[in-house]
Amino acid sequence: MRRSLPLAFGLAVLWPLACASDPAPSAPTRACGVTVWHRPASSAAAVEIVGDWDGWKRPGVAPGAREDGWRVAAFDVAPGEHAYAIIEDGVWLTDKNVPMTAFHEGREVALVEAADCGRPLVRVDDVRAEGSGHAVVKATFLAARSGVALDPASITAVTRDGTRLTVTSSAPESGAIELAAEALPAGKHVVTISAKDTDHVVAEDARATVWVEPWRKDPWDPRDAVVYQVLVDRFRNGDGPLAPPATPSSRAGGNLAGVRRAIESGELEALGVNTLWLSPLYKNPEGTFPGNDGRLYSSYHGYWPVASRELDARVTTEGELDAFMALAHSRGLRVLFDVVPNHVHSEHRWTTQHADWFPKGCVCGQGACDWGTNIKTCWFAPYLPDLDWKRDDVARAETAEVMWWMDRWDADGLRIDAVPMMPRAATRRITTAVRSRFEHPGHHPYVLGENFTGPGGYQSLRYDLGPYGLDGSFHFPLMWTLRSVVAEERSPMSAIDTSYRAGEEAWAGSGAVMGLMIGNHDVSRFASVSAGSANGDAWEPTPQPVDPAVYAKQRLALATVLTLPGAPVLYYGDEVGLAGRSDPDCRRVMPREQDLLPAQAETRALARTLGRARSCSKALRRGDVRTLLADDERFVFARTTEDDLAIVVLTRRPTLPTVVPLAGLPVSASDLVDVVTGTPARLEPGGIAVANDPLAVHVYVPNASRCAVTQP
Amino acid sequence: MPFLRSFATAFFVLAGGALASSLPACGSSDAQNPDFGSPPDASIFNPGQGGNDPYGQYGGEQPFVCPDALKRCSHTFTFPDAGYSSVELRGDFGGPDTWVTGKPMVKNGSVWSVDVNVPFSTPVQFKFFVNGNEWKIDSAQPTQTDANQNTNNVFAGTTCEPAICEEEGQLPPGVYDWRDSVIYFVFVDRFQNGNPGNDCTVPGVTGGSKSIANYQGGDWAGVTQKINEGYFNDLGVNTLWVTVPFDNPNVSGQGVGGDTNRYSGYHGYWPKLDSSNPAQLAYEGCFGTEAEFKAMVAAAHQKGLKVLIDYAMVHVHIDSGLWTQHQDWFWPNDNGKGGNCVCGEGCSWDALPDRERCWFTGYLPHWNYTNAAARDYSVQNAVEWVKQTGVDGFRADAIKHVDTSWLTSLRAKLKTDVIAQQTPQQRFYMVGETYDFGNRDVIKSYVEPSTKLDGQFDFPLRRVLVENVVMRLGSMTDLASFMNGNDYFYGANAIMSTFVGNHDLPRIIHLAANNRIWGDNQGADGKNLAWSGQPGAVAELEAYERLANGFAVLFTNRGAPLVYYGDEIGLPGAGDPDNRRFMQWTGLSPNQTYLRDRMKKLLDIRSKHPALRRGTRTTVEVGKDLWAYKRETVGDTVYIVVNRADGPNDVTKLPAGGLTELVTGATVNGPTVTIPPRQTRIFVAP
Repeated sequence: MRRSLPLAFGLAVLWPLACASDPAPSAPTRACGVTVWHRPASSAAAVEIVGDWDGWKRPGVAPGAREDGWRVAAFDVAPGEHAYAIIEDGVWLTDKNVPMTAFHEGREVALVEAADCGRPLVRVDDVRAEGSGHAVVKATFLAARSGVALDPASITAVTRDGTRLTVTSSAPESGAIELAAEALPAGKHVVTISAKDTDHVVAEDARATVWVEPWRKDPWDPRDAVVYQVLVDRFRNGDGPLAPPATPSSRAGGNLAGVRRAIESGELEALGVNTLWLSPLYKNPEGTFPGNDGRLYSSYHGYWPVASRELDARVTTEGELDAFMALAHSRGLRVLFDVVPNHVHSEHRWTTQHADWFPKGCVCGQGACDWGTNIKTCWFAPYLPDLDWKRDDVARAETAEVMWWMDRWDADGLRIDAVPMMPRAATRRITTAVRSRFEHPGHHPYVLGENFTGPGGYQSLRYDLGPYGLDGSFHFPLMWTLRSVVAEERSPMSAIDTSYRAGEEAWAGSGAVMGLMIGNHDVSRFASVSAGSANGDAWEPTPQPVDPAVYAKQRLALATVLTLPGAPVLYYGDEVGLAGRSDPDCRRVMPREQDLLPAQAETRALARTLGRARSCSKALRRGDVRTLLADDERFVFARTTEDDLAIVVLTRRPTLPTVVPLAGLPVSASDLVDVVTGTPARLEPGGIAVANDPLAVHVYVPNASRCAVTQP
Repeated sequence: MPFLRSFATAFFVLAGGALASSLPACGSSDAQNPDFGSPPDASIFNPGQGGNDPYGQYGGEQPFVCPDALKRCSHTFTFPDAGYSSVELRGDFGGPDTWVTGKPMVKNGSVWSVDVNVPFSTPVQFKFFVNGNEWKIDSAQPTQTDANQNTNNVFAGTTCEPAICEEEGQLPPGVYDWRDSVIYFVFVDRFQNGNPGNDCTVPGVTGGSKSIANYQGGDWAGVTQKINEGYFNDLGVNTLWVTVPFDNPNVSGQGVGGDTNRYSGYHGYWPKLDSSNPAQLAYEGCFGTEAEFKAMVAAAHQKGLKVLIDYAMVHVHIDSGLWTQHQDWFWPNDNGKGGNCVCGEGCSWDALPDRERCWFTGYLPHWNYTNAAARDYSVQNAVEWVKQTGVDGFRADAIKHVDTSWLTSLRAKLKTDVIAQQTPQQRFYMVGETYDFGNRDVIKSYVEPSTKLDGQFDFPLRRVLVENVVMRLGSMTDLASFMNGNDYFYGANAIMSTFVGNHDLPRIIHLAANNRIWGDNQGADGKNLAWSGQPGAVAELEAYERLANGFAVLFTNRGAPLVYYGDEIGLPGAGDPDNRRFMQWTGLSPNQTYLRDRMKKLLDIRSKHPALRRGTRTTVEVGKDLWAYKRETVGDTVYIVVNRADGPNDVTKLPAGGLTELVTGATVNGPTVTIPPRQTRIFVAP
């Protein structure tokens, strides 16, 4: 294909970077080198590109100008990472068209990985699996720069447990490879596909992830996630419930065996949960360390890594984790590991081996060390040295540590801690590494980031998102809104709609799937906010509320996150309205079954009903949101897909019965049933009539839908 | 060296035979057929610039906070009629003045009444002044008799929610109200050369005699010339901050921190004090004579301008006679642990007690004001500057490095030696510099108008304002939210100086440009381009419009706004010393003229509307790019709408009906008005 080029440049003689020596119909070859595109603000702008390939020589290369305003230049560079910058009218810019950045003499610059065109590459194009265990994997062999074609006899495709896939077809002339397996058991199968060319040059291998899930119609993606957040030390142990820890910051003794029990017992499944977020499993220090409040804290939470590729023996072992992952996957559960790339604990060997990776910072929020000025460099505590992500060696090393968690354990995604405390380059590097290794059509790892914001922090969240950024962030603004609207009744119900939409507007086009939650391990428990008992010393447990209204509010809030688009994240204990002031009181042990109040059990029952309704209803997972009614006391919306529908009615203190207007919806009210009460919708002129019960939840789905009955 | 491929470098590539030979063998058709693929998708998600909520630590939208001292509640006072022709309510509800001029009451049937905004939860004493000649009390209402046997009615006080927030109104006649002040920072050496006869050159300065680190010839005669030409009156500023007038040694010195360049004392921050007599003032000869300095102050006063001098009292230059005579008046350059006590070396810049002891560099001995003799000398010297020159205030340099006793002693001595002699008594305005963009508590710890500073430069506001308005990061909601919590953060009576530019930061115009040299860092010191690769003028009008928007926010809010010389024409410059180029007086571009004219217009509007100077602010409407707010004081209400976006934006919640727009003079109809890109509009009801 010939591009139309400005005539003025017609004299130029140019080489494509991948030149085929074969004149014959050529197999596709790898793209290599670095091509830089830039569209300056004005056609008169002076643009140069400088890079590490020639020691950042100035002036750099002036890219050629095209009639459409783009400038372009290509560089044949050695394989591996390359940093460069675009200088427009003297101002250094990163490249908006590449995901990664690095730092050069204090400036943020673009970073790309140039392919090794001396080797071929295998690329995964498609993966399909049926419930029967029949799976088909399509891939393409991309030749090296030499153009030498695939040797069909060299293809191997093996799962982690040694199962070989059959090569059903391979075409050296097009590079197309097709593989198949039969009767794979339910669960996740990571296939490594290897091949060579006819010169015996080994291709870079590929990972194809095959999920066999007889219970699922469409392949899973993050929009389908219902996440359960477990703070492992505070959840369970292998014998069951835990006793409260000696102090709020001591270890309670929860471990992975306790989480395993919750999988085996079916209680997570009963909540509709299909994704687990486990608190960090890194090896953590012994003993206690002073918090900023002067009190002593243990490392029970796992956020103090002393070795970033070792498991904490108090929590689990390698063999146990392998078995755990296999079990979780066989049940269709995805597992997200909590990774801590921002800092290490001072007992980490890096602090002595690489002292220069940890420039001394002040302690965040203490004295003159305000968050605004020092957020990227400050330390959480004097014993938590902060990694300097502006260094290439740090960025490479820590990205490799994070990738180890993905690769070694067949993880399904990550929850990245303390995102805004690192340059964005950190999460960009991690997500780029995860995607390039594991993502392919039919398989999407889910990388969630923790950017803690206050109410209204939409722009702050937006900054980390998009196709080059995180798959999602926790939706703190919506969490704060739910607290203000539902728990404290300080804002109108319509504020939920406003907050949700403000977020969607802020990150429109990003493709993000946000984590929707009513609380987490860093804030007071929702139930205690509802009870008005969340303030006060977080080392003094606040009582478990007895007021039924507190639990009704809990249900209303849980219903909201379980029915809006995103990935609902249930913080352990929130399904039973566990009480707690802020950290550490919000991290109590999971209560024993026999200690639950009836209102707590009732709350869990609703969470189960809606969690399962969500896993069943495509509309609730992937449908668009159409607001039907949003006023002081009511928030009513429809979720619609082409062929499915759900109507969610959330009411706080209505003074009159609600009539849900159905105009414009492809549905007749007589066809709807409320999954909460199990009763058909009651018709009135103009729509569905809903009684004026306070703090009520109704979720209507089509009668004909298999989701109409959600009892197990 | 890599193989390059681009249109522009094709000849270079062809010329490089060695490179060409290393290429893979390619078919000739390939060589003729460059294919870069398709350009990237330009519609790819734009992640924006982030928010202003570092890890949730600002807690999001903050409501406006009214200090208790400004809270008022409406209360109706009544008095039964007995055939009076007039009744006036007099009392302490508005301070001592309302005992003199009260509120006229209105008769309704047989009762006189008036609504008054009384202080929140505070008892009020009052009387009724009837028929213009007689004081009466209402015996039906509670009374109180004082030591002089005066009996007044007394109202126990009331509370209300929400309270009315109301600043003190007009001060008594003849008392200057510093809330009306708009400060212009005259960098004397860089402003205007009025007398070439006093020009100085210091040997040993990096770059030589013409260097930007050497004296450039500006002087007090030049400033006087500009005062008399009416430059400042014309611009609309009314207070001059002039650089330190103290004599500095004519020697060069190496920069602070890692800066190895050598500088002269053109900035004035190296006081050379030789005389043990604090009344013996030493004027900087490179800027002129004592007479020329006094003539400048007199000319300023003649034109209605107040004068602040930059007061440098952290240290003296080591060439000072005082250092030789009284080494015990200074902290030793010794950290007591075998090292020096240079800030950032053997001692800390920020931690106490180091911060009040460390030497900025090895030739600047740090005053020890815990030594009473040293403190008395320095305080007396400061008072002498006021008494002998008639300046109206100080800009207190680097105040966090000064022992607080200096400040409290100076304030006390000014009261007895200066202010007590004045009729009427004036407020001596002291504004401090604490270079900290985040820690408001540290900044606040020096602000207490009766005993310490009247205010400080508002660095945290600078950060949030510049990030959100000038650089277009975050959102206007972030700015509104911050300002709600910031308006009275430093106290009801504090007067902070608000600013976007000063002599320690790269020129603000670069932060308004389409492409920002220092990226998203509003606090970048710009030192990387201070000595080489210095930026030229910013070309695009958009930058000047954005900067005008930044000034519009300053000029329509509380505080004493500061204009750094040259910022009114978008003077370019990287970090210190490139941000101190000589003032440009001629050859202004249309963009520069646009900016200066806009500032004149905005300052004219500020001068005509007390609401802009002492009104309280309410947000009318705020979103990502547009902030509309109302400022209100008794008898004056002004609506301000700032659109930071590069496209037009509608404000929809102005008052309905006809409005006068003050920037353009247009008449428009509310409630919905379109604000053009990068513009501020100011509305009043006609």
